[in-house]
Amino acid sequence: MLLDLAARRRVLFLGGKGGVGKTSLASATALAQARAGRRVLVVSTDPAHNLGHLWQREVGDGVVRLAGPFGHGGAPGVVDGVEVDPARTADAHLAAVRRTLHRLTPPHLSREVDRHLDLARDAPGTHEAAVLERIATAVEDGLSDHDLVIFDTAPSGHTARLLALPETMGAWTDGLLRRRERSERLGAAARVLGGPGETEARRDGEIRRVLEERRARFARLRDVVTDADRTAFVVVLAAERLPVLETIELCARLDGLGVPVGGLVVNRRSPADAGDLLVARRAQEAEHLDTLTAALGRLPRDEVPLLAEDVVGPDALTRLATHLA
Amino acid sequence: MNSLVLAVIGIVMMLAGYFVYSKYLARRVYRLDAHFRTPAHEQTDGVDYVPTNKFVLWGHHFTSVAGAAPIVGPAVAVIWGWLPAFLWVTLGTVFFAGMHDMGALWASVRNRGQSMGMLSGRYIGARGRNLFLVVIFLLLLMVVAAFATVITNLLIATPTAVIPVWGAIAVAAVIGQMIYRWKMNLLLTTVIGVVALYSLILVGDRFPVVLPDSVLGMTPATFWIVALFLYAGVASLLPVWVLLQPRDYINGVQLFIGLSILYVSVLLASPAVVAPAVNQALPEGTPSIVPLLFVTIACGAISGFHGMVSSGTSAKQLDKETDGRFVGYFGAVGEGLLALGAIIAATAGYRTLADWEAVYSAFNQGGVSAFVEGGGAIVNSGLGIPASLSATILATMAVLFAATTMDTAVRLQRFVVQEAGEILGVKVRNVVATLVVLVCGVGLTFSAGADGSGGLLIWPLFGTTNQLLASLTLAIVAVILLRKKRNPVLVLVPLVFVLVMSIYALIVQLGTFYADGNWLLLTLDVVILVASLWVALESGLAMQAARKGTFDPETDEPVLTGSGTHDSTEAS
Amino acid sequence: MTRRSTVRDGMRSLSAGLREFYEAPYRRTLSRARRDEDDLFTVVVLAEALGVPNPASYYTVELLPLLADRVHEWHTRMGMERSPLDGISCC
Repeated sequence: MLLDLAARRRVLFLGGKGGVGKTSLASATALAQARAGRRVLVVSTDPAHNLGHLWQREVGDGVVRLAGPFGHGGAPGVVDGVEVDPARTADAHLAAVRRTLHRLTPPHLSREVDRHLDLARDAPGTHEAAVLERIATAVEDGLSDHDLVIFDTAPSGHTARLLALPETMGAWTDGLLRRRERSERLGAAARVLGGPGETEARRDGEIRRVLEERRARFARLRDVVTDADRTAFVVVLAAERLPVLETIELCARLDGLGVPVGGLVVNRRSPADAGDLLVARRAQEAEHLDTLTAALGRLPRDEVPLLAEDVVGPDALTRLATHLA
Repeated sequence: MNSLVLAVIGIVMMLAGYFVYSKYLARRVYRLDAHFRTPAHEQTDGVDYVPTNKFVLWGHHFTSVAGAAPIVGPAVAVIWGWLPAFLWVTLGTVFFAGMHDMGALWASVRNRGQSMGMLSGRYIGARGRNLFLVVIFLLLLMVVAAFATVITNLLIATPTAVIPVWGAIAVAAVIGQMIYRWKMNLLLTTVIGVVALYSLILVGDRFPVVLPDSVLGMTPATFWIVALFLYAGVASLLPVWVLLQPRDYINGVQLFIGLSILYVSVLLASPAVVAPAVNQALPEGTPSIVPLLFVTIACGAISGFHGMVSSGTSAKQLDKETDGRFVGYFGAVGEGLLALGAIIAATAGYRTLADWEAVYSAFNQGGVSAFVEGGGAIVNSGLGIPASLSATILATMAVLFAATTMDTAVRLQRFVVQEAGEILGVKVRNVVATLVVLVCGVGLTFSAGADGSGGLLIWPLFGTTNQLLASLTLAIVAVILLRKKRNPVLVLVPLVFVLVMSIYALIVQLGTFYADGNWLLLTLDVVILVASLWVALESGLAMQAARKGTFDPETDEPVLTGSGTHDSTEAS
Repeated sequence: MTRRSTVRDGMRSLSAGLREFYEAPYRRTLSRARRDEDDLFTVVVLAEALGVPNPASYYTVELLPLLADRVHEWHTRMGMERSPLDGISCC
C-alpha cells in the first residue's frame, strides 16, 4: 500500500508515536521511489532527528543529497533530506525584525531589544509556528524541485495541532486584513493632502503586503494538505493497545481537519515462526489489530515484520521496502 | 423700491462691515496676532487639529452654518414689511453676528481649540458646562422640530419637490459609494451628482406627488413627519461616509448654484419690491414687531449655532489667528447675504401688493412658501426658467438645507445625550440615544401642530434658544475681554440686547401658548425662560468677577494677590 | 506655459479644492475612526508586551517594526507613561 500510495502522490506525511519507525519507513519509501525515477525529498520535523543516523551521514538544517542519482538518461531519481531546526528557523524569522528594531533603538538599549526578541523566540507557540513555516516552504519548494515530499513528523498530537494551524491562522490573518482594509479606506477618505498621508499610505501598503503573503502561504498549505489527489497521511503504529487507540483518535482528528488519511502501517509485527513468546505476542497483537479494523477497517493496511537488525544504511532500507506493497 | 437697489445697499453695508468694523475688532478688541501659534499648529495631529487654508475653511464654516434658517426666518419676518427685516439683517450681521462668530472663534483658538462647552465651564463657572449642555440640548431639539415642520410644510405646499428631495438621498448614497468605494474622480462625480439632482428636479416638476388624505392611516403631514424622522435617525447612525458626507457636499454645491441663480436673476430682472417698507396693514393676530422680529430672524442676524461650529471645528483648523477675521466675520456675512436673498425673494417676487398680502395673510402662514413662490417668480423673469420649475428648484434647495441641518442636529443631539449620560454615570448606546432624540423630536413636532394645524408656532422658540446660546457665547467673550482688562462694550451691548429681546419674546409667547392651550410648548417656553434667566445670572456674576479680579494676561487664570494691601478691586 | 497646461493646472487645483471641500467636514470623524482601527491593530501586535497572551506572536512580531513609529504617539495618548516595549526607542 505504502509504495503504491507514494507513487501516486506528491506529498506524504508519516505520523505516529515516537520510535515506531517513521523515519525508516519514510526513507525506505523514498529510496524505492527514487529508484523508480522520482526526485524525493525527506523532511524530518521530529525534534528527535534520526535521519542522519539512519543514512549514516550528517544531515542538518539544509537539504543534502542522501542517495542517487538513479537511472540513466531522462529523469534520474534522487533522495534528498533535511532535518528542520525550529530554533534556527525562529531566529531567522526574527532576524529581520531584530535588525529593524536595533536601528530604531538607541545603542545603549539594544540589549533590551534582544531580550524582548529572545522572549518572543522562546514563547510557547513559536516552535510550532516555525515548524509550520518550514513545512510550508518544503511543500512549496518541494512541489517545484521534487516529485515527492515525505514528511517524517513529530509524535501524533503535535502533528494534528500543526495541521490545524493553517486554517485557524488563515482565519486570523483574514480578520486582520479585513480590518486593515477598513483602516486604509478610512485613511484615504480622510487623507490630509501630502505630508503624513504619504508615509502612512506606504506603511499601510507594507503591512498589507506582509499580511497577504502570510495568508497566501497558509492558504496554499491548506489547499495542498487537504487535497486527496496530491497528499496522503499515513499513520505508523505498533500493534499495541495505546498506539491503536491513539491512531484511531488521530485519524478522527485528521478527518475533521480534512486531511486525507491514505493508510496505516503496522510496524514490528511479531513473527509466527520464531518461538513461543513471539507467537503469544502475535496473538495479542492480532487482538489489538481487530480493534483497529473495527474502527478503521476502510483504510488499507501494510504490515511490516519485526526485523532482526536495526535498519541502518541504504541496503537495509531496500530490504525494508520489500515488505511494503 | 427696486430689489436690485436693496440688494446693492445690503451688500455694500455688509462688505463695509467686513472691511471696516471687523478690522477694528481684529486690531483693537480681539487683537488677533498673526504670529500666535494656533491650536492647529500647536496640537497638530492630522485628525482633529489640521491647519487649513482660510478659503477652504470659510467654505466649510459657511456651508455648516448655512441652513434653512436664514431663509425661513426672513421669509416669515417680512410680514412686518421689508425695512425692519432688512435693517435687522444688515445691521445685525455687521455689529452682532460678525462680532459673535469672530469672537467665538477667537475665544476657542486662544484656549487650545476647546469647544464652547468647555469654555463655558472655564469662564462662566463650574455650573457653566451643565448650563451649556442644557441650552444646546434645547436648541438642537428646537432645530429638529422646527426644521421637520418646515420640510413637511414645503413638501405639501410644493408637491413638485417631493421626488427630487427624496431622490437626493439616493443620489447622495451613490456619490458616497463612488468616492469611498470606487474611488472615482471627484470632479466627475460632482458633475454626475449635480446632473442627477437637476434631472430629478425636472422629473419632479413633471410629476408632482400629492399624498392622498389618508396614507397608512396617517394624514399627509403626519406621514411626512414620520418619514423624515425615520430618515434622520437612520442617516445619523450610518457611517458618515455613506450618507452624511456626500449629502453635505452636494448640499454645499447646491447652495452655491442656488444662490447664484437667485442673485443673477435679481440682477437681470431687478423686480420691484411690492411689499411695504413697514407694513401698516398687519393681519389680525400678528404679534408685535418688538420683540418677535429679533427672534424670528436669528441666523442671518446673530445665531448661537454658529458659535458652536466656530469653536467645534473651525477653531481647531485655523492656520493663522488673523484668518479668523475672514473665516468668522465673513462667514456671518455669507449668512447675511443668504438672508438678504430670502427677503428679496419674499418681497419682490410678487406682482402686486394685493398678491403679496394674500400670501402674508397671517403670521406664520407666509413663510418659506413665499420664498419659494416669490423667488420662483424672480428666477422666471430673470433667467426665463418656467415659474413652476424655478419654484421646484428653490423648494428643493430649501428642503435639502433643512434636511441636512436636521440629520446633523440629530447626530449632535445624540452626542449630547451620551455626554449627559456620562455625567450621570450611564453609558448610552448609539441606537438608544438616537431613539431618545427621535422620540423627543417627534413629540415636540406633533404638539407644535406640525400636522397642519400649527404652522410654524415653534419657530420663535427656536429663535430664542438660538439667541440664548449666542448670549452665552457673548458672555464668555465678554468675560475673556474683562479678564484681559479690555473694554467689552462692543460685546456687552449686543449681549444685553439679544438677552433682553429673547426673554421679552419668551414672556410674550407664554401668553400666546397659554391662550391656545398648548401645554407642551408652554412648558418648553418656561424651561427656556428659566435657562435664559440662569444664563443672565451666571453671566452677570462671571463678568463681575472678571471685572474685579486680577488675571494672568497670558492664560486668563486668576492671580492671587499675596499680601492683600494692593486692593484688587481697584484694577477695574 | 501653453494654454492646455494652464487649463489642466486649473482643473487640477479645482479638483483639489473640491476634494478638500468634500473631505474636510468629516475628516475628523473619519480620521478618528481610522485611528481607532489602527489602535486595535497596535494592541493586537503589542499584545504580548502588554501582558496579553498572544497565540499568534510568531506572526505579529514581524509586524512590529512597521508599527514602531506609531507606538510612542499611541502609548502617550493611552495615558501610559512609558512604552510597553520597555526600552525600544521613545521614552
